[in-house]
Parts: sequence; structure tokens; C-alpha cells
Amino acid sequence: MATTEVEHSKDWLGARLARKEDQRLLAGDGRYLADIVLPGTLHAVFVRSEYAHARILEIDSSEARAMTGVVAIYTGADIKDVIKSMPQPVLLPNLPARYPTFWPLAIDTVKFHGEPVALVIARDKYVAEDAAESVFVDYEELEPILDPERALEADCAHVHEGDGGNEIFAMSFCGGETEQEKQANNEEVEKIFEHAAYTVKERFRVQRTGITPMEPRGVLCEWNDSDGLTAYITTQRPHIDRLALIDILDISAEKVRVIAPRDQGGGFGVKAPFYRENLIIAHAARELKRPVRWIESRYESLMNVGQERDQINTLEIAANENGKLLAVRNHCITDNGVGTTGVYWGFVMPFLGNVELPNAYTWDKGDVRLQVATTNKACLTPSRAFGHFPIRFALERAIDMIAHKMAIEPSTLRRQNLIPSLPYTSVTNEYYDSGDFLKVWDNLMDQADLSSFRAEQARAREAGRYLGIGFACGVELSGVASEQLVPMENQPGYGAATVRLDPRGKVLVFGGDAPAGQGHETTAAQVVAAEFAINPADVVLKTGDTGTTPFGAGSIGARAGSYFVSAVSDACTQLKDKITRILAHDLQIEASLQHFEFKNGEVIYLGDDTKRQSFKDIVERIIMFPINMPEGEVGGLETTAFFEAAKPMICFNADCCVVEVDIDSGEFKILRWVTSEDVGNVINPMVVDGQMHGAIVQGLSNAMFEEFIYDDQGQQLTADFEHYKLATAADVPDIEITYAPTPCPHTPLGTRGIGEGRPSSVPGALANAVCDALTPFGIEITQLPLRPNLVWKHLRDARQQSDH
Amino acid sequence: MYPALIEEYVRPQSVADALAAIARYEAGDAIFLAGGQSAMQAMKSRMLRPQCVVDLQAISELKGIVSDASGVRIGAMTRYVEIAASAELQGGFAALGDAARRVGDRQVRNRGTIGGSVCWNYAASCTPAVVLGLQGQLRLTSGDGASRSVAADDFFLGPLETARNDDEILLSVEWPLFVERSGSAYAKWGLVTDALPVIGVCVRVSLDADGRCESARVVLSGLANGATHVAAGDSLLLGCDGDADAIEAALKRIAQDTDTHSDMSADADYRRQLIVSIGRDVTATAFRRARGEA
Repeated sequence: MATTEVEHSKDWLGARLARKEDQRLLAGDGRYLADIVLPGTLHAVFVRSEYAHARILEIDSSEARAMTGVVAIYTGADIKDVIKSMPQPVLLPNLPARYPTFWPLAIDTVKFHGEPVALVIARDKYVAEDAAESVFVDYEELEPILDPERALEADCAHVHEGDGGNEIFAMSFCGGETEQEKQANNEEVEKIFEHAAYTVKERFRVQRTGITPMEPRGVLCEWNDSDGLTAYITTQRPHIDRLALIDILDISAEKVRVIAPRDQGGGFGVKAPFYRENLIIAHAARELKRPVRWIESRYESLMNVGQERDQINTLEIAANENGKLLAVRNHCITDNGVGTTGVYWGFVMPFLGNVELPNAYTWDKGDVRLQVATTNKACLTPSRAFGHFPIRFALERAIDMIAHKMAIEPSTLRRQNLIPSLPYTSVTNEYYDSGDFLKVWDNLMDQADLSSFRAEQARAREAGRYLGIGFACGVELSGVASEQLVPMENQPGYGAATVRLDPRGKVLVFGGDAPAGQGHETTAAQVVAAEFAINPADVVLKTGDTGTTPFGAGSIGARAGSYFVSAVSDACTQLKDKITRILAHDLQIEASLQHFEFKNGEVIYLGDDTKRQSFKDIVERIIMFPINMPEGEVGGLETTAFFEAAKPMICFNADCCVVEVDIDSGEFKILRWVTSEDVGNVINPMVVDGQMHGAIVQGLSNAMFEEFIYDDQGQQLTADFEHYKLATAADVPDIEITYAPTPCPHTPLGTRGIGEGRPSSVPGALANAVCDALTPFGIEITQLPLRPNLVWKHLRDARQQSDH
Repeated sequence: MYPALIEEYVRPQSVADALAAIARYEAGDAIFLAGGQSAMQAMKSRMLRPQCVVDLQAISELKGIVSDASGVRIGAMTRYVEIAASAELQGGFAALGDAARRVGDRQVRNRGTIGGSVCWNYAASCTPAVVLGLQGQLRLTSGDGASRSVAADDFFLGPLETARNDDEILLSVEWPLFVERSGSAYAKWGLVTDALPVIGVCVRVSLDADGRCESARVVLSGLANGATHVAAGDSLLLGCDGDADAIEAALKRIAQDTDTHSDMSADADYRRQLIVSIGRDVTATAFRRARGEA
């Protein structure tokens, strides 16, 4: 659709409009954190621990302090009595846990390879790096605790001395509130497993991996005594970060402003926590009364953040002789790392992940137990498919494995056990509001054409080629309702937007979230353009600045298509109501919003279409000429709307993958990837397609290539892209996205939030396809990453078995 | 990732000027910069801390591929992209193009050079393996204007080690014309497309008039010690006419006798498997090329 066209303006909803952001991003005109220049800025470099676990005997920074251009050096001792320790209530979820006490810089002991030990601040980055290198730290090495199962044993030493154990968090789900209820439930589950016709029990291991945003973290803080602190932070949650800075640094709230730069090179969850680095940089700026900037290197980024998954799921499922899934039982052990990351602490991810275990299937009973272990590794940080990437891999594999035992098609078993109608509450008490899982599934099967594939597979096998098909599906959060977010993170979930009309007929929208490339500017503009029947080019979105935007919980959990655009739509409706009230008065008619149509840049009275005024003129009249107003009306056209769904909302997706496996080398090639999506009503299909493509690629890259590796001394070996392998464009298939939508009944536009959880069904579909190809060898994959080396080992073992 | 202080950067226009620049510093305090695809990273991580960087990119006499009656000469500053696109490098030289086409990514191939790669001699790299496989001669020159030629077998001394002295510039990699009916090929496997080799195999064969292998050379990349000539492999291919079973048998022997290692990319057994699965295609391609087939 041409951007000058305003005919059929409702059509902006669903239009494949080129993203407003892309011109500047692709032309190199993006303005990222490192592009923001303040006069007199100082540059910060962290001295980080070389050991996973060691006592700090001495820090000698005398040589560094003497270097020309060095302005300040901080160590733990310098801040321990000046800055409050963490945790503080502002960063605590509503979950009982063994929260470790820590400061931004290590005190006495370092607890992971890469932990900040000292901060060097200098006139430029070169001097700061030189000085950081000359800070001498004398360590006494301590035995690192690296195995999560070992960490949970009673006789294991503790990562955090004085915490009384390494189990930072534990929880059981499904069983009710009291011990008696839980025991009764678990006995019932046990009985189901004893009598079930079919059961599967496997230990599924998913490696430490996550998401690596193109732009690493960074922070630029400025202080002056009249305005206080202005902090530019690469963050998905500027309003949350602001509260943390206020509370921990004891700064009066009106004196703290946090700004997430307009352009951020990806977040994916990694920029959702409140990080210790932000705190010490803000503290230094306040003390030095100079702007201080820290830009994370790729090396630091891979050392410290983007590490997630890392779970052992001992998963059991039971089914009756008719293929009805009966019960699910899981014992999840998560390697949390050190647990010193505000808001999430590492364990919030596996907590939510286990809530999401049941997926789209009906289970009579469940017994889910989670134990999260503290170890001497970097703390887990949120990564897209928050907490449930490993769990969904395990469940989707287990479904195929039980289908293999029954000798039925895994896709048939899935369909038979899909939740047939919504709303529905899962055995882990997760509420699924709306949608049609069967419609999505049937659309996928239409795309997959299974019977043709099976014929092709049989022919190929005769020719010595091994083709396989795999399926998986995923129920994902569509935004995070306050009902979920308050208990989980002590934070609200509502969406908020301010819509301000301009006397010249243009529109400014303000949002408190902080996008990082998802296309909010385009999506919001399409919504506003559709509401007022104007052009998206006339709408501008401003985000991320706590000084100008309404409170927003942040760009997390697929909140844009669910909560944010709903708030935008509601704000527009409120303004349209005011416009039509005043226009009716001016036209001397008795009418209200329902009697008018906004069309082609005009507001038209439906009862007599000669009674009309241009949108621009009526807006200017209300803002600039507020005389002869209706009784009780005042001028001005700006409003803030808050949107809260009564219940949590979901979206749903399903994947089909076709592979060919080379049984000689174990290499496999993805021949086809086709999906079926319920994303509700689509505002911009190109944006949604892009979200799906990105999510699937990230899922594949996690599943096949990426792995953070620590050696037996806790040294992190994968802090560069030579060793931490990301998929390239050449490594991923063409992805066919298809839609089988059900409009969400709980949002004003019928939209759903999408994209956050989307990678989670990817590893299951991929591994199921590989196992399907290798059916003659009876191979069942139970671990990731799924690399040719692993497939080859399974094949070798299978051949050796058959030789004996 | 900011380098330590670099006091001087020079961009000479000639080899003589480059040698003069390097002579002003103690050995090792000044470094030559070729395409910068490894050295820049090493400087940013401070593994290299030169006082002076002598950038060779403006020296045209170091660039280009010459093929004439006396043989083939590839200037040290010739970029991968030029080697990949060269029509001169056929038959026995074809392995050079195989490797150059799959180094890194497009950006790396547009900047990285053959000379930079062989002088850096990273353990997991392709170019040293191919130069070793094709028995290139490395022509070096130093301050007094004299030049010397070092055989690849004597040039590569182990990961990040070569026979080049700090004050020597590599001028070119050279070959006499291969005998007729020569063919070579190279391929590698890495976790992602065009990654550094977990295992790479370079094979060169020369055939007699009956199509039987009368000389062969097998070199592996991706081993712990970097590019490695497998002399036993050479003799295993002698007399072979390109028969698939014979090639397979030879590669299985080579794999069995090779000391592979386990690391985060692959375990030792899988590296052996890769030697076979990559090597048989590479060997078959080398035979095809030697026979003058596409």
C-alpha cells in the first residue's frame, strides 16, 4: 500500500507497511547508546575476575591510579559502606528464595569468571583499558562448584557462604497448597504411572545457551545537583531501572530519569534485568559529577549475560491404551549460576518454564518439581522463550517417544490430546484465555501433507536416503497480565500509552516500554492511522524515556501486540469521543462518537454526510481555539490510557520440520520448515513474519550450534564468536509462515502479543524430525545441542548394538 | 577490546619502504598488517602489542596472481576473493580456490589475504593446509634486499609459528607448473557455514597416462598442531585409479592413523569420521580434476 494513500484507512490494520524504523537503521543513521555524546564524558572499564571462585587477598591499584588520565578507581571496599547491598525490595520477586547478598563489585570473594572486581574511570577508553590492565589482584583460588546436581547435595560447600545451601529456589506445582494436598496429588500421579498402558521416562539435558543481542549492554550516567541523575541505559525496562536506581542509591525519586535510547540492537530478555554495572556507573557519575559511560565489549557480554536454559529435566509422561495422555511428572534441576542479577535472580525463568510445561495438551494430573542450584558461573539471564525452551524440548520429544511405543503417528497423538476448546486452566494452573488449537493444528497438517511425505520417505529409504518429519507446538504468553507479573516480579503488567494530537493534525504517541527493533513505531502508527483515518507517516512514537512516557513494565513477554497497542487504541477512542462531542456541538447536532465516521482524513456525520470536517481542522480548533465550547468541555487533545486484560492471554503456534540425515557423518539438512500461527488479528504481517523468522532462527541456533562452556575450573571458554557459534543466514532454511488466527476477544483490536516464547517449539520439532529419519535405528535424542557429532555417536552405538 | 598504545602507523607504497619502516624497530616491536582479519583481533585483545604497525595494503607489487610458463605466483597481499574468482587456478591448483571460497564470510574474503593467513598460521585455518598440500614455495625478503625461498614443509612450524623472521616480508607463494594430469581439492567441516575447520582435507594427485596415481599428497587441517602433512596418506593413494572403494579404504587408514583431538567442536572419534567423509569427496574431486573433468 502506498504511504500517500488514505483511502480505506481501516485497512492500515493488516497492511504490509514497510517499517518506519528501517530507513534509518539500514542507512546507518540509527542512534544507539554509544552514539549519545555528552561533553566531558569519562569512560569506565571493569576489572573482572579471572577465576570462578577465589578469595581476594589484595587489590593493588596504585600503578593504575598514578597513570595520566585516570580519574577514579573503585573496589568493593570503596562502596561497601556507601551503596546499599542487593537484594532490595524493588528487585525482589514475590517468590520465597535464598537471595544472595552482593554489591556491584565483589567483596572479599569472587564467585564467577567475569565478576566485576574493580572499576576504572578515565578520560578515554584507551587509558581506562591500560589502567585496568595494571590493577593487580591477588587471589587465593577456591574449589569452584560447577555441577548443579552436586551443588544440591547436603555435603557440598556453598557458593554464598552463610546462605545455608545452594538451593536458591525450589517449588512444586500441581498438587495444591498444603503438604497433605500435594502428597495426595502425587500419590494419584504415581498410581496413574503404575497402571498406565504406556509410559516414557527420560533425562533431558539442555545446555547453557541463550540470546546474544547485536548491541551489547551499555550505560551513560550524568549527574548535576539541580536535575539529579539522568541515566541512558540499554534496557527493555527503563521505568523499572529507574525505581531500582532511586531505591538503592537513595536518590529522591523526582531526581532520577532513565532513558532507553530510541534505537537498541536487540534485547530478547537480556536487557530486562537490572544489572550491577548500571548501579556503580550511576554512583560514580554522582560522586564525580561528570558523565560516566560504560560500553560492554562482546567478550564481557558473552562472559556475563545471555546465558539461559541449562536445565536437566527428568520427565515422565503416561498414556492409556487409546492414546489419551494421562499424567505428566517432571523433576527439573536448573543450573542457576551465581544468582546475582536483579529482578530475575536466574530462577524466575525455570519457575515460569515449569508453569508452562503442560503446553497445549490435556493432562488429568501433574506432578512438577523444580530445584534451582547456585553454582560458580554467570547468573542465568532471561532469553526469549524464557525458562521453557528446555522443558518444551523435553515434552515434545517425550510425546514422540510415547507415540513410537504405541506405533502411531506422533502428529495424530498430538491432535488427539490438544485442548479442544478454550478457556482452559492447565494442571500447573496456567490460564489459557482464547484461541483454537485444533484449527491451528489442522492448518499445519494441511501444509505438511503427511501422507505424501510418508510415501516420499519410503521411496527415499529404498534409495538409501533418510528423510524425517517432526512436529511440535507451543502455547505462549501474549503479554503478561498483572495477575501473573505481580506475583512473579512484584511489578504491574498493564499497558500504557499517551496519545497527543498536534494542532497541525499530526500525532505523537508516548510509550513507557523500550523496544529494541521489534517495529513498535510502525505498529503503533498503523493503529493510530486506522483509528483516526490518517496516514501512518503522520504518527510518531516516542519510547523509553521515563521523563516523558507513562509507566510501562517494559518490552517483555510479547507485550506490544497485546497490551501496548491496546492502550494506544483505547487512548485514540477516548480522543475520538472528545473530538466528536465538540464537533457535534459545532455542527449543532445531537450526536456522539457512534454517529460519526473517521474516513480519509475527515470526520463525517453518518446521519448527513454534508456535515463533516477535516480531522486536521477539528483538531486545531479544539487545541488552539477553545472558545464556544460545549458546556463543561475544555480544550486540548491528549490522553493516557492504561490497558489491563482481566485474565492472562496467550498465542499459539505449531511447527513442522523436514530433514534429511546423512547416516554416514550424522550431518542433517533442514529441507523444509513450515509453521501455523494463531497471532490473533495482525496489524502488520511483515512485522509478524519477521518476529517468527527471527524466533525460529534463534531457536535453531540454540538447538544446533550455541553452547556456553565452562571447563572443570569454571573458566568460561566461549566468550568470543569463534567459539560461541551463532547460526548464519546460510545455516537456516527458508521458513514458511502460515496463519490460522482467532481474534483475541480480550483486546480492543483482537490482536495477540507474539514473538517472545516462539523459539520454544523449535528444538522439539527439529529433534523429532531427526529421530523420525532415523526410525530404522531406533534413535531417541534427549540432549541439546543437536549436532552431527551427537547424531553420529547415536548411529555408531545403534550399529554396534545390532552387530552384537 | 581496545589495543595497547600503538605509537606509529605507516602505510608504505613499496616493499623497500616497508622494510625500512620495520628496520626502525627492535625485532617484534613492529608488525606487518596484511588484511587484518586476525592481527586486528589480536591487537584489540592485546595478545599483540606492537609499537608500530606497517600496513602492507597499499603495496601493489605484492598483489596479484601470475600464471605463465614458469609456474604460478600468488602475491602475498592477494585477497581471498581474487583467489576464489581466479580462472588461472585449475587442475593441480584448484584446491586454492576451494579454500578461498569458504574462508570466513564475504567481508573476511574481501579483506583477508593469502600471505596474512600463511604468516599467521592459525591452527584451525585452511590456507596453510592448502599451501602445504600443494607444496608451495614461500618467497621472503628482508632489509638487505636479498630474498630466500622456503618450502612449505619447512615454513609451517606449528600453530602461530613459521620460518619467517620478524623483519622479513613474505613476497609471494610460488609453484613451478605442475606436471600434466594433476588435480587438487580442499574441503572442510565446521559447525556453521564457512566456519574455521574442525577438520579440513587437502588432496593433490598426479596421474600417469593410464589414470593411476603416481604421486599424491594428503594434508589435514583442524588438528591440534595445525596443518599436518600425512605422509602415509600419500603412499596409500599411489597406484589408485580413483576407484571409490580404494579411496574409502585409504581414507579409513589415514583416519585411523591420525592423532585427532577432542575439543568443544567435536570429539576425537568424530574428527576421524570427518576425515573419511570429507576426504573421500575431496580425493574423488582431485582425481576428476587430474583427469581434466569438471
